[in-house]
Amino acid sequence: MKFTGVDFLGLDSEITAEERLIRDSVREFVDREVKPIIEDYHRQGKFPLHLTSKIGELGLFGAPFKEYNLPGLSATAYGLIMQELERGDSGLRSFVSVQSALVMYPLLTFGSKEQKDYWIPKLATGEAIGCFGLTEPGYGSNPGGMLTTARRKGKKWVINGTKQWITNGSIADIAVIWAKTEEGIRGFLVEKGTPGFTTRDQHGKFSLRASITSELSFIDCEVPEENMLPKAKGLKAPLMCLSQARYGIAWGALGAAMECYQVALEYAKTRHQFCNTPIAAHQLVQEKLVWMITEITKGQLLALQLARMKDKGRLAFYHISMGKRNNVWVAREVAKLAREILGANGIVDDYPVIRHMLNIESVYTYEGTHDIHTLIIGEHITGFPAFNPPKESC
Amino acid sequence: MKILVFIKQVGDVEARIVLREDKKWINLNEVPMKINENDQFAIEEALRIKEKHGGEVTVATIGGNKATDALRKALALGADKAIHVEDNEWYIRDSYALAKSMEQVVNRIEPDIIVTGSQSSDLGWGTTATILASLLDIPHAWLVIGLQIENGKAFIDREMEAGMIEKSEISLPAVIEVQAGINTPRYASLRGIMQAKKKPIEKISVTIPDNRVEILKIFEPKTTTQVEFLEGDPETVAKTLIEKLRKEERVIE
Repeated sequence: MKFTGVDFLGLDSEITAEERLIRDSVREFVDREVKPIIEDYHRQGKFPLHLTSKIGELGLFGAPFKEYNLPGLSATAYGLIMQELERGDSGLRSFVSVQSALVMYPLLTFGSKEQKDYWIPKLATGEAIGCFGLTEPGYGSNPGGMLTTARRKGKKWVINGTKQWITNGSIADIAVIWAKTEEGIRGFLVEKGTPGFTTRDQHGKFSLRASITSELSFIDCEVPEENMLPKAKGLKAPLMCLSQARYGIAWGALGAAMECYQVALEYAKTRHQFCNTPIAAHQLVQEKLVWMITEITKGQLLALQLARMKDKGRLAFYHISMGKRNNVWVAREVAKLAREILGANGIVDDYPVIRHMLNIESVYTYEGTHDIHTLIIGEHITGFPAFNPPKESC
Repeated sequence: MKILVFIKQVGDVEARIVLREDKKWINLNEVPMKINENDQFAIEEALRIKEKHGGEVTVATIGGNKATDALRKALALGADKAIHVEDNEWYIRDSYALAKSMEQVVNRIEPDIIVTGSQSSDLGWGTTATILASLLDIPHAWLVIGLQIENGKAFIDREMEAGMIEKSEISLPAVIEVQAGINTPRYASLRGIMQAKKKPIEKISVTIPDNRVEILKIFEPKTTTQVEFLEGDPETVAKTLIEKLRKEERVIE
């Protein structure tokens, strides 16, 4: 059965005809180009790189931005794109998220004119792929503790350190790397092939298998001074990038949830047990389906309000935390319930459910873990930051 | 070249279909609407003609408010302008009534070529555009799977029975009814969707004749399963089976 959306409250009438058209165009793309191949790529642990130029032709890279003739979409339209892509696969959505929110956004926000002139058009078409290096082996939730350093050497910067869990790392033409300098944390553009810069792919993943995750290593890696992002100063800069990406995840996770729900619903209606009745007629199964659609619908309302606030410039990082925290949790629970409804069929990749369920495990703890977002909201409402354990003395 | 494409907005056949209470048609409020599949190929074919020979693509449809979505999509794909024949009763019209409405659009545009799908995925009568060609007294071709324009003529490939292909030459203006698979339709890019906002959709009303065909009822046929056990040794059973497949079921020759 074709995916026709999950819209219990008729929210389609709350979005514009243009936003619907954009969503439906991406939906069609995912149905035609992604769904038929994704299970195979997932099995093989490969990223469908051939989709890059098609995504570029569609104009999905950097869609929310206006500069350089980019589409300048509403926050809702951008969110709907993320939703449809993640209905395809979280890895695919991650790929577009990284390119748009973590590479094009910092370039446009903190970059020099030369940096933007050179990279934005290439990134928009998919001719160039980017990655974002903040997380390190020892510093995930606490990126401020990073060990990567950059020091001045004449007209160059010398970077040393390791970045880990970097989406697109080994296929990226350009890496946005965050490092400690004497003047605080700064961002640098490191091109593929720069001496001292090597990558190694993470293998053995049971999640986001159709996505490339790499470790980036910098050993006395020299980049010219003009490769520093001039307007990015301090940890706030990479955190601003993450806010952009997390906003997209709040929508994206719903895409995975919606597909799991629809598959479970159709399965329940056609799977017969006990006196030849569909399992959907059983109260326990109905309870699961009702829980799923209720939480998805609440998540949709949350995402839609975040979009409206974003367009009005009223969206703060702690609002985004609520969206990311809630909607990814919803997707995780929905995927598990769908898996359960499908029984044994839920563990094989004849159905997309197990893949989504495994993918969401990554999404649950990347871009700010569920718990860290709890603490971000907690700090906002109480005024007490609870990120560090209590001090020994009271 | 002036290219006119007729499209129809239909209920998505891949979605769950719910019938109206009077059982005369599907409940259009309950089903997502999309551009008829064959018409999607017609739009793509029209855009390709324009890209190769220059000109302008006008896309037209007959329908209610929701039909605007189909026209916007066609504009987003690259059509230049759209004509919306407003008719809230579009879904009960028969082929003749629709063709008479379309004729009035054609007279307004005076196109060099008319492209549309061979049939709609809802009613599937496959006669509307043929009647239109007849009303206009111009040639037409049905089930077209290849189209080239040269020296003011259309060279077409038509799908025939038994996997044969017919090649023919027809003079323009003509009505070309394309078959799914004639091309690979493009996606509406974000750029195209943004540009579509600025393209005009002209709303017009036309004189529509009464229906000559009326749908009385739509229903799902009762499925029956008949099982017949063939008796005898394997050789006899095989012989009887072949006989039955050949003479009764006529699935083999």
